[in-house]
Amino acid sequence: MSGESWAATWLDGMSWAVVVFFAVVNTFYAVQLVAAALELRRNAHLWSAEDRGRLASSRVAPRITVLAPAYNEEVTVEESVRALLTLEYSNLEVVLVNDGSTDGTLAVLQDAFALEPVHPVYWRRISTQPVVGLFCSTTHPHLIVVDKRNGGKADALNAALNMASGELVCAIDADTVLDGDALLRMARPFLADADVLAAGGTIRLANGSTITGGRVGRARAPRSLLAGVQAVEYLRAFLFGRLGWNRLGGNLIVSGAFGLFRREAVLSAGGYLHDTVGEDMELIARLRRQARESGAPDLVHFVPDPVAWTEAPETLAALGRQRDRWHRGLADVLWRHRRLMFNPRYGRLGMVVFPYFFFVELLAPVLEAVGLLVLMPAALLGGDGDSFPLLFLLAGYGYALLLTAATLVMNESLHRHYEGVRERLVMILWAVVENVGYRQLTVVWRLRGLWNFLRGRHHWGTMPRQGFGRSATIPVPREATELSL
Amino acid sequence: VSLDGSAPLWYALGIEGALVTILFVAVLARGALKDRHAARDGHWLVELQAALVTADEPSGGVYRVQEAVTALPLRVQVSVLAELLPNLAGRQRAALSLAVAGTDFATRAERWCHSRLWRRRRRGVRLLALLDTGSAAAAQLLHDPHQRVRNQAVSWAARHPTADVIVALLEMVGRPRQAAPFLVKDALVRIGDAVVEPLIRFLTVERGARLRVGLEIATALGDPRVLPAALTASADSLPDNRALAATLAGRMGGEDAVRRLRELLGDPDPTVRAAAAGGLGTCAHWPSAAPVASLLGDSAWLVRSEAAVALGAMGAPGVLLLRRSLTDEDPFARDAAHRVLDLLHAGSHRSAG
Repeated sequence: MSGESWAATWLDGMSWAVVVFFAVVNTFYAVQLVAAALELRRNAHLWSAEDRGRLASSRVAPRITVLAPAYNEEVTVEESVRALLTLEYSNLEVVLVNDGSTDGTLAVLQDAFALEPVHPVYWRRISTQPVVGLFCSTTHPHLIVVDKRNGGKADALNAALNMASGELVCAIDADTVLDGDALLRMARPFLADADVLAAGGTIRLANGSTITGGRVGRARAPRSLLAGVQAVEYLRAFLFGRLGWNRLGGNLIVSGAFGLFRREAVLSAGGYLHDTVGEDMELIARLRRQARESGAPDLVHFVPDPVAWTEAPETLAALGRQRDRWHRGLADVLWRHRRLMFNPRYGRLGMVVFPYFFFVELLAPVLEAVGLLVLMPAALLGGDGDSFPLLFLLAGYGYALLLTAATLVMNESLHRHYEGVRERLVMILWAVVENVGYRQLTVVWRLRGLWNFLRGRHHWGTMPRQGFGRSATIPVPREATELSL
Repeated sequence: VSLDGSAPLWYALGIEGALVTILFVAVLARGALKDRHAARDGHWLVELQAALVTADEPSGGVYRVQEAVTALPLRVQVSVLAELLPNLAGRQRAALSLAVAGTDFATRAERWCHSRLWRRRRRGVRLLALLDTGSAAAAQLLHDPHQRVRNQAVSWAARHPTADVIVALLEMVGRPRQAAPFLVKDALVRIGDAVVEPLIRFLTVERGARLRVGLEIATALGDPRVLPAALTASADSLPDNRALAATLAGRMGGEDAVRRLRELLGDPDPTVRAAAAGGLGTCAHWPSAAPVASLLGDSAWLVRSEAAVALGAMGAPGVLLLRRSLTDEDPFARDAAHRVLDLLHAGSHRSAG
């Protein structure tokens, strides 16, 4: 066999592998889309204004403790805490953890909420960096402030968990902006079903929207290219990806920016792990795995309506670092829990969810890169006029655009949608533009993340934020995993 | 084997292009429709609110409200009522209820309750709940085969507590497959006084998870008549139930409750000891301060913490013991006392503020 024919055969084989992968994955996406649409319809039927009033005024509503880590947030911390304290929920507690800030975060809090020091003894069910101060507010009885040595987000959340008294705990990021009724909506699965361990809500990008009094007013589509394509990506990842999983085996990730958990379950599992950059996904994987191993229910729901807003990076460098970190986190979690893979003992978690995250979410950038690198030479070697590889790529991106378009339709069913023709046109524009350049860049970033994981790099990095009218450099959370082609 | 034949891909691309175009048009059309509905509903809501403002005028105030309600399309009526009715009180609520009574809403809702479609039955009972209308058909839906209909019927039942309805609700307690546990609990607590006697019977016969939920409901109700049942439950084999019974007994107070709570201070389970200490604190039984203070050195953090909080709630005698504990040999007792004294200090600032 000549060298040229061997190369042609090899390329042909690889091309077929890419085509088969493409067919399997996209068939699964179609199933996921149908599941998401059915879930969205079910959710619309479940919620009514009357339910909201009933829960808001109930004497038996379970206590929810909001766990809010803060690191160098002196500019925004007062407004953020006030927004948390005024969330629509009758039985609310806020535990804010000052994670060793080097600025005036604690001083601002002491001044704004008339904090009084309390002897810092607490039930240390999870080990954390030392707590150096504990404060309660003389003006807001439901606010507790914990001052501790810096240990990162996971450590701060663990410290907050030690202090929390709520039956349910809501973990958020320092820069998360919650809709006023987000907790009321998010609590619903826990009230309806005692078997629910955790629930996640939709995260939207606040880039472009106006924030007043710690709340996002009218939702506007981001105007900058990078934020715009991410807005589309977030919508797809949450409304199509995570919602679909409700019917296909349950979610393996609840965003660190906004998740609600049964406190006892998290404490029993040992809280958040420090030595991973994917601590939010790792917690869910561990909770579900342990529940399965002990024969307990392992329901993790995604609720599309509760909306939390966050800020997306608007520079390529910051975005690249973020995606690199997310992919490292994904690889790390999948490696730690590799026992789940095709293990029938874990039911659909082991047989469907985990393999999906491995083959589709983790390896997708590899196969996508191989696809791009192989299909082009295949076209060159396949003879004149063979347009198959190019058409195949176009069909792949067309299918991705189809899924995005379906997500935009689904988004119109939610109470929080983009109002006005102009906003919708802008979102449509970003949906189209996303496929040209941006998707290919995410492949590069995720490949870099995989490479860095294999090299054993585990640091978080930083993200300079534009800020909702502010500027700060803080660790950023893991977010939605990317859909692969 | 080679990849060739690009014709199917051309077809696929064509189909994708057509579908994407349709979906984008759907986004714009659906969005525009939604915006239009929102604007129109907002306009109707403003009209109705304006009519409600003049509802107590003798010259046809209620009539104007009724006119505004009937002007709403059916699609909007239920959602507007759902938004407005729970937030209205006094004359405005009475006027809206009167206006709604003049329509055929209730008849229509009753008819829907008999529908073969579960969604319509659910809508019917939801409308009846909003209208605050009693109905045999709605009561029957507590036994509906579909859980979501039963859930909605439970919401309705909170405002229409006949003996049969209460029995049906108590049957659902601790049985999550029958109805959402929160809704059942909330409905029974909202019913209030009428639930107490059936609940006492329930607490005396039930065990396990059902007893636990029953005790939670009794605690939220806080009616002293449940005390004997709570005392019986305080001897239950499950620690969770004994702890809940102790909390409940603490809320009731009285000689029998205190005697039992003091016995439970020596329970082998820490959650029960903590609840017993908490109970004595809730009823501020200062003569029990000394035995509660002895728990400041308990091996369980929860017990130490609850004992300290209870002492803080007992007034001067408790605070005195807390101050003495600041020099206790046991560092855990010192810590627990220190923390509660700090909390009391912060609390006094709050009250002064």
